[in-house]
Amino acid sequence: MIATDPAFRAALDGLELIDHPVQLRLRSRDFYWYSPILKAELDGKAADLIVVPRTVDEVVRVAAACARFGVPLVVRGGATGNYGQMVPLQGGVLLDMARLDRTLWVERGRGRFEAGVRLGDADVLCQKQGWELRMFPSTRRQATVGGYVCGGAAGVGSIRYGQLRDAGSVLALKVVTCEPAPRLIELRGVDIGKALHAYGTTCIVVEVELALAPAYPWVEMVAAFDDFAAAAHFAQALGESDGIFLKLDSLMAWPLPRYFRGLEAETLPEGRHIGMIMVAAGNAGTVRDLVRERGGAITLERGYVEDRAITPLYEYTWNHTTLQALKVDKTVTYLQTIFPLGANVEALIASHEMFGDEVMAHAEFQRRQGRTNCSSLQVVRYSDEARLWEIVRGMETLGIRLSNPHSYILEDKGARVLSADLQLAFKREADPQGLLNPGKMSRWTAA
Amino acid sequence: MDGGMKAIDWPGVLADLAPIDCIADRALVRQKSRDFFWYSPVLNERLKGVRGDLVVCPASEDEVVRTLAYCHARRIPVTPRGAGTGNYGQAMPIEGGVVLDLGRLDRFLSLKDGVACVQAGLKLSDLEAHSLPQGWELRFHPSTRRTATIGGFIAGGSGGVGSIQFGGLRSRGNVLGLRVITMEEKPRALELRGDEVMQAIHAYGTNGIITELKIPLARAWPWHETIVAFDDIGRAAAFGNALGEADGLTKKLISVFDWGAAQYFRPLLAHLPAGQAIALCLIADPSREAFALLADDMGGRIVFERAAGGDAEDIPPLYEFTWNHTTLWALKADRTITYLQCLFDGPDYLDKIARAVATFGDETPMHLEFTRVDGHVAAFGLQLVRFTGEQRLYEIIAWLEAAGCPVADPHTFILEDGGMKTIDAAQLAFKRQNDPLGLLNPGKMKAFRATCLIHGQG
Repeated sequence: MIATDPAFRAALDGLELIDHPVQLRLRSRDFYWYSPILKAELDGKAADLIVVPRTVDEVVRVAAACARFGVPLVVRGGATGNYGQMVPLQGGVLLDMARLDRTLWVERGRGRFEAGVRLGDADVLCQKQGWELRMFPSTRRQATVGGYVCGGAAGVGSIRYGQLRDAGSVLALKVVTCEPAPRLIELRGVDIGKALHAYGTTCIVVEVELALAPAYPWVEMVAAFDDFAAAAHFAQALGESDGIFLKLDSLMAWPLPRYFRGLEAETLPEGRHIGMIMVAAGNAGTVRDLVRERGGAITLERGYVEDRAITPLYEYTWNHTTLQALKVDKTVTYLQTIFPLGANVEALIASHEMFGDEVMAHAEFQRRQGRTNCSSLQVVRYSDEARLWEIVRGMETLGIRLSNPHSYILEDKGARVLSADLQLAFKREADPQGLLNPGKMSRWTAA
Repeated sequence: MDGGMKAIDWPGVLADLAPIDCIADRALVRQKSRDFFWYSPVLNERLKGVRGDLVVCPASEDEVVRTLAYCHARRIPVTPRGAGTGNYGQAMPIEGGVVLDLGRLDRFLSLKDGVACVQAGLKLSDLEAHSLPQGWELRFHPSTRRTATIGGFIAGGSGGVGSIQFGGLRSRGNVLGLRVITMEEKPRALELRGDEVMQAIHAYGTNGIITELKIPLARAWPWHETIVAFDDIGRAAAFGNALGEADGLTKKLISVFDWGAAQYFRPLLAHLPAGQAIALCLIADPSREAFALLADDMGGRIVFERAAGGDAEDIPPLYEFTWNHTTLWALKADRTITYLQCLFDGPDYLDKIARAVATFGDETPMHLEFTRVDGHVAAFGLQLVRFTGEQRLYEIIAWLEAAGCPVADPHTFILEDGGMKTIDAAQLAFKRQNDPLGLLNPGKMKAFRATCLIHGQG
């Protein structure tokens, strides 16, 4: 086994190595177990050796050693992905970036971070200088900057700033190639697409430069509605209100709120559909007016503070919604779907009516091409795989497209052809032996 | 028209109002009775003789109340005025009487959590002089930022530089509160909150005198100014739309001009390639790189850049070439030019622009201001018009309306015939409550005049 090959170990001399079986198993997992399908496929997959680099030079050494010895290499950030993005399918080395965690600089609305910096730490550090992250996943407190750009797509803040892949979100990536003499390459502009959301299959991202937002004082609000259609139209109208400065616009159909622990009962009234909102303090009153006009009631309003003792509202949104449900009921799973621009609310309401409580509607409103749309992370009462695909086909009749969360294959997430071409071409150049996260890029595997 | 109210003993009024500061000097009163109505040859004919009888300059809300009570008792019309930077005679006293100059009500009251409380007469530039050191700026402002007042903007304006981020004054959330004084025997002070503010926004001061405002600000950026040149207006407009819809790019201004309009930007001419269309943009620093890529991708060439706070050969701020300043640059060169205001909106709005360009060519040099409207990107057309007569002007307007481009006629001082289009029931009801005698800025709200005639009060 490679972990014990003395020549390979010698090449890594002086680096922090971990090969304890329990550690190997624990650190080779992400949240793929949200999916019963992935759980069956990925349980038991593990790396043979964990390396914890502290500098970019150490990353280069690991990449060189893997290239020379033909050892698979998978990069791990906070392991908060949901589709086994970082689960090693073919063993080998797991490169744990947790110690590559220096913030290099923050200035004039930009921040440059080593890949292993936790998003929450990056955000707090930026806030001290008047800036904040434009967007972050609900796993802000655990996820890393590098993991987010390699495995994530959008998040809290997308209602204002769109998607991570939108031009101007990620400004630069410094990457290491997987070759006997690895190269350090700075990717900017369209070249960022070579590594963005590629699950680390094309190169190793070691530094990330992000566009920041100016920091605002935020207010968290929960709005409750009797009627799902009214709640959905409210969430869309809120997102389309150009004069209301938002960070989060989420919608959860009853009975999802029943799963949410840590909030007061009056915040989540029985039988009511809820909106979860983060709004700039100056517009909190405007949101209150809009909720009242749409027949809802505000059940929670509090200033957002950075406090470990309080579960932030965003930890009930995006993919935390599914987690909150799973904590209570192990039999649920979820879908991840994209809605038709311009007809998303109608599709959302129709899908809610089509499946009732079997598919609990959960939508995250966000900007796409300058307009308000939503994606949905519906929580599903799982019976079997056949029924799951039946639900998906039902969704498709409403114009709702699946971004399959039950697959670890990169291309199954609806990656656009253009970026898939770019990534395949770059992999040929930067990882000619196909050692990086093998088995995830289907077009490489096929070739 | 000459003052219009000869029956009033104006020296007596002046004495009665003391110690409130008043201006009686004929030339000064005339100057303070005017705005930029002369952009329109139509309005120029109708309004050029308008002047008030006395300018009253209250220095406190108490003095506003005293003035209103006094004028109410004597049935003297009162027309409020900010800096007089309107374009349709919003602040012009067409029935004479008192011009209420609110310029001395200019205190910056507070700034907390990004919400500013200010008095109505505070100049926009002075407001930002207070807020910028604390890291906040106006969400949007008119091109007359250096002269206009906040009260005048909210009572007479609609949007401006920053509307591509935040929409306009009518987008809920951009004005949080207004304090309004009524025109009654005993004037009341009303506090409007939430949607109630819409009753007084863009009502030309016909239904109350705004004395204080509560507005949310935006976090300030050092904005980078840039000009991109394109072979034709179609490409420039497509770029304006793409930039507007690029959620990852932080911008404050996207103004597009064809050469027919850009040729009048005298201080910029050294930088502008003759015959080309241009886009004037304000971009946040971190977005510059992606902005340049987008421009290049869409066939544009950056011909001018200025970093925030940078100097460039006495070139004024770029925003002073945009919105209604564009027309001013053209008028400086050619007094026969006027302009239009229309909205290009809908999924095919770029096609509508192309059709307008193809139909009218250099008769209406194209000027577009990209903006957010109801959650999406659209463009205001502020086309220049080579004026040949009122009849032709209204032919062009009729063509635009028929093509699905609603026109906010800038050649009328009537509220409903301008941007509002329809009688705003809430504004009308608010006027009946607050100004039952119809003394505030009379003649501007058609619906009120009509109802008065019906009820025999006119």
